[in-house]
Amino acid sequence: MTPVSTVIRFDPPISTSNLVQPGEAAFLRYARMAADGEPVVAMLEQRLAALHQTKHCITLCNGFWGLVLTIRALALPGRTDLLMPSLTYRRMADVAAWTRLRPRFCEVDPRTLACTAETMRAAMDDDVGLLLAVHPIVNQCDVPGLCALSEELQLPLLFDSVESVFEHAPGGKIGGFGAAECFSLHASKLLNGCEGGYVTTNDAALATRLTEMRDGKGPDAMDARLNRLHAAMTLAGLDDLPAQVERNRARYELYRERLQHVRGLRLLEFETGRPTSFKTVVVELTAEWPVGRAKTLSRLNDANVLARAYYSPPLHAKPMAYPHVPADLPGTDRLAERFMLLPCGHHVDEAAIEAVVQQLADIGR
Amino acid sequence: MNDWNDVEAALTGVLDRRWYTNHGPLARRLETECADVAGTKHAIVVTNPTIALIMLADALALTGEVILSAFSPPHFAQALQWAGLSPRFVDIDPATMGLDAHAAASAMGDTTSALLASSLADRAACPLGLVAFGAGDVGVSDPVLADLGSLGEDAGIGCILTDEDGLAARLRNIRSNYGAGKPVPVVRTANGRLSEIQAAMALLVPPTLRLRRIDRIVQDGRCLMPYAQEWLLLPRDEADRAELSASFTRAGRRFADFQLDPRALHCTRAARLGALGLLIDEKCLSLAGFAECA
Repeated sequence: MTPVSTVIRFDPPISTSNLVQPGEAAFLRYARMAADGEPVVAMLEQRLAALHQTKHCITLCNGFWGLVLTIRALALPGRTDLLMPSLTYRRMADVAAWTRLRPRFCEVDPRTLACTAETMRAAMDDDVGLLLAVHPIVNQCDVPGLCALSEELQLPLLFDSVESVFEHAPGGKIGGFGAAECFSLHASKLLNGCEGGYVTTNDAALATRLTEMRDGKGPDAMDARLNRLHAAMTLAGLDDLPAQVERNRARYELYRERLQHVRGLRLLEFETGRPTSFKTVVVELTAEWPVGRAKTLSRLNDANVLARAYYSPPLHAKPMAYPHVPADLPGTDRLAERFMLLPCGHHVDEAAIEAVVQQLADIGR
Repeated sequence: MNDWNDVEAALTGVLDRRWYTNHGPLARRLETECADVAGTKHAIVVTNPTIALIMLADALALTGEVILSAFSPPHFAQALQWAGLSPRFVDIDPATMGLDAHAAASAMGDTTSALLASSLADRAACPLGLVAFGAGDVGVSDPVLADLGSLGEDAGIGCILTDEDGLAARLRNIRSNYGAGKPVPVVRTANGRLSEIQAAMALLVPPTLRLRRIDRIVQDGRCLMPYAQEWLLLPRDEADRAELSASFTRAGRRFADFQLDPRALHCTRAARLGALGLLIDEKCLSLAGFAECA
């Protein structure tokens, strides 16, 4: 990306979406296999199951409907509510709306921006039929704590692990915890299938049920199959994954080095000691930052630096036209104003990062 | 039939443009072409026909029952159920193999909010009309859902055609905020985004094969008038018959999807005619489907 003026206005814009490009030769090879009728979707499911060290992987047309089908398959009958954090994916409440469950919201831990056993317990009651724990954009939920809560309450636990494809938790690779874990293959994610989604689980009965539902068989069925060319794209991305992570690491380390000189911004650092993808760069605007987040984002966006707010507004603060459980979450309200994502991904190079940090420094003076 | 070179060029183009989804240039072009071919003001493309029908039911705010042909693919009823509706099946008209208008009229009740009519002659481009009844005076909203063709084992793409600005706006906002245009209130979104790869493959299919012109479904307050299809494929000679016979095994697997057994003596009229319809259907798929690459 080349700045085109002294004002540093990027053309084309740089965004927070990963947009990783697979190797063209690899993609075309897998696409040709798809065209020739080879089972590329099954191949992908096997490779993803291996990546996540799970017994089963079920691909779907996208992560949204992957969540919907899995929730429908898992939620306890007779219960009315789906418990989730409010500081998360802007369509998560809509996911609940399709499952005939009311979204019910909980706080997140201000240190991790993740829901915990404590924050979920505080929002619990006997109406809850499923715990939907969402890994935050940087680092992970307290997986052992949430699994213990699920066991104690005898409630199914589903992880939305869209932002933790490459990561591990204490106890193993992300993908094999809870009843199941859901992922997305949208172009903005670590694995770019253009569109798509998948669910991993070690529960054979659940895997069978989800496969039937996805393939249009049995109760709650709908055609939610993954497109074969999306599978081809993802396979090519899997081939490149270790190299992508190294590229991500280099971008993150440069941000980390440069941002420490910009007062008022605190980089959310990836935990060391366990594998991580280094995909997304998130900063907190601390009390020392002199400009509000909205104005900061506006100035960045004017320069085609498409930074964006972190999960704002939170879900509980948005109007919902379907049944839901109203919530008062002051902790989330405060957190929802303080974080933002900076450009990263395949098309953000070293020069772009230097320019973005310089812009931030200029804004922060 | 698409040559692999064409497919490769289309896929390479997606990579070169670095626009993979979120209502990219190919999705926009596909919508323009579909609207032009169909002669409608709006075309809203969706990742698959099932989600398209779910979105359409939500955008029309349908409630209660929807009447549809007993000879409908399973995903019609499934989509209606996901949208919170109750499918009510009626028999087919053997002349059209579509919804029998008189049977539909007889089945209408106080909770009927729509009729779902489908063309079975050309399943690969399967236009159907969803006629929604308003409260009080009967109003007609005749959006049309076209299945842009299966990609072999893939689900195919949905395309909703309508002249109603409000309905189009709601559909776009339900589909995704990308390509939503003017924000309008919707109850819930449904992630029906079409990728650029999907659009690229659909654009490789000639427009005349991609969509059929259909006459509008007209409602006169008491029953539906049957709609006309542009053409109906029939086996024309022995070679055609032989080809259809050869495809019967594959069609037979499709029967399982419909839970129909045309060989059973207790078959309804719909099931017996279904055998012919599906055989024709298989032939149509080979014309309008994804590249059987040379």
